[in-house]
Amino acid sequence: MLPWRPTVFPYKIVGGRWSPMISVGLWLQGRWPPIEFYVDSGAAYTIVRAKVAEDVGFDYRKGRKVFVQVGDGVLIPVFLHDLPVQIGGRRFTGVIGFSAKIGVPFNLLGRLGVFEHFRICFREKRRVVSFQGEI
Amino acid sequence: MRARAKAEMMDPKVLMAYDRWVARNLDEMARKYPHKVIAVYQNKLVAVGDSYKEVYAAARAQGIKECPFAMEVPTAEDLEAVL
Repeated sequence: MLPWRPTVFPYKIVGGRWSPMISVGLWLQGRWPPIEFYVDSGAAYTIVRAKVAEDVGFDYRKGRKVFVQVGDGVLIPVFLHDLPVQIGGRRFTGVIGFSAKIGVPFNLLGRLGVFEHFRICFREKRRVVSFQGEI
Repeated sequence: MRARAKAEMMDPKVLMAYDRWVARNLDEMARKYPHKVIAVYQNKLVAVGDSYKEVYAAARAQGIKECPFAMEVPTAEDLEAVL
């Protein structure tokens, strides 16, 4: 699996709804727990649910605190960390936010510090999203 | 040296195998275990629980030394919440 070749992820189906969700490696507490993310091109930040961090013993509150506006206009606190991330065969240091107030039961893969490492193609008709490493 | 190399990244094939497992099984997981946390290792569901901590501990109790894949199982309604 060469890092510059596109990695193609099938959309995942739940209750008849197809969604661009992908398995990502995230370096936390000296380990690579593989975690599922919803690829959200409308999200500025990648946000991991705080309970993921808490349950692996990662003190996410030590990160840079920012406030992010969510869909209903509410500002939620997000703690940003620069962490090693792996998508397919490509590893990079990405900006990963953690929040206890994310409001959905999954993690969001957003643009800042992540999308710039790839050419990302959503192919709705084929129900796949591909990540090709930027050279 | 070997341990360091191991720490530098996951085996991409292992990571993609988890992705394929989710693609094959998430719909069923959403019916059986909505909002539960599941853990998967080597193409097998190894634990279902209420927290990541719980499923990681269950995996360790089964002798699994590596970090298994874990996720909270969303429902279709949860996914509709994403704009």
